[in-house]
Amino acid sequence: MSIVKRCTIPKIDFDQLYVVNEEISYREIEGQILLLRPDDHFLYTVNGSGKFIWLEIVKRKPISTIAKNLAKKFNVSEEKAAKDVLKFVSELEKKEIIVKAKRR
Amino acid sequence: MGKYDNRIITFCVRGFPGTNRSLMNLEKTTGLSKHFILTSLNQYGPEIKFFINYIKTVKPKLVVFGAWSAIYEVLFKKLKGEKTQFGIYWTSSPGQVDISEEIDILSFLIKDPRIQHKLFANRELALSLSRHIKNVHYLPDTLILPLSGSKKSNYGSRQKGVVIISLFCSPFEYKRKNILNCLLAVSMLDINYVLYLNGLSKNIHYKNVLESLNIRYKDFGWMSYEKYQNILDKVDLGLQVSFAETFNHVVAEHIIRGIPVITSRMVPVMQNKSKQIKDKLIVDNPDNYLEIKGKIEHLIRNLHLRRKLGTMMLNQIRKENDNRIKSAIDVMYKIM
Repeated sequence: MSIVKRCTIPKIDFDQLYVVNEEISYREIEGQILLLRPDDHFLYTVNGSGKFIWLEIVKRKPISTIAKNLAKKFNVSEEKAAKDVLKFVSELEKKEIIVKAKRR
Repeated sequence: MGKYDNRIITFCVRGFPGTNRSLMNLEKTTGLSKHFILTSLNQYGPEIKFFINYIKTVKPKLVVFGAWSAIYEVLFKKLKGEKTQFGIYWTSSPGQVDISEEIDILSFLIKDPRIQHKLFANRELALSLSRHIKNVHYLPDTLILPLSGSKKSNYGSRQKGVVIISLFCSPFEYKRKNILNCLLAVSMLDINYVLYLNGLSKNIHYKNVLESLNIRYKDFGWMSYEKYQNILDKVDLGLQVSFAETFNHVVAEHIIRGIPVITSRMVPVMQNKSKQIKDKLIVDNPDNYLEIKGKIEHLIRNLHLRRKLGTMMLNQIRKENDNRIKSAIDVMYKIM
């Protein structure tokens, strides 16, 4: 007997825009982004490529543009850049640091 | 920047786990403060700069420092002229101050005119100082307890042949935790045990003693709070036979899980407990390892008694905690 599993591949929306959750405090200090979540007792520090992605998010750029710019900035393939952006964005979204922007 | 509604913001450097635990619990149990842990001692680093900016933006009524660190001086200096008042939260008992050689810091803090509110976790110390110094308050430790009947303790339900005994303390506490007596007691046990530690064996002197006494131990080193909680769940019996204490969150965290802890009379969280609990768990003479050994053996051989004591302690601490939270809220409203 064969078992057929139904798999659902999550659809990635490369045009998606994100905004910083208004409950989050953040500052750029000495080249690092410092974030504070309301329920946390520690600061989060973002630097390197994470900082670059963060600044692009703040500028309200879609995932596809962020990935392209990241690839250019760090001289990596767009495919790898897209993977890194998605990973970082999904971490921030999971921690409710950023939320999906409403479409107009 | 985001906004919080908290009128009291508390800070403590990472090196004081007990004080941080007290202030985190205070945040959750009263809802009147917000606590931050300073992970860097760099007076010019980004973290402290962030918080200076944060306080200037949020404008809390009061900033309270847990214990003391030189990095707090930066906040005093940079926030001079702001309307925010300052306070300290001192958790050591008088005995602990002497044993841990903290008298230089305490004597400076109680006279510091920049500190408007002096909050003490030790009732007796607060009571005495308040007779001579203005704005001294007793701010009790509070606990986050599981809701009554929400989760049954699985204490003693594990099937295993090895008894797990804990001896948890931070390096700052070694002087007052009576460690050598506890190690001597454990080394004399005639049962299959493992002693769980959180860094003691990193100290070369204690490592030598552990090895010389052939103590079977497992040292987890510094643990995240999540890992610490998971490890605690495996413990059968705790050891906290201290020479001096303020509250002892380690004992409280065992009690919450229904795990009995052998202590000395100096552990405040064990005060006001019933005679039966005191008889079975409190050592009369902490400097007598044979007494500690006797208590361990009696409890290890009697799982039913351990379960009963664990349940009784949890019920008693629940009642006490309600009163502690009420007192803490009263004090916090008074100083806001």
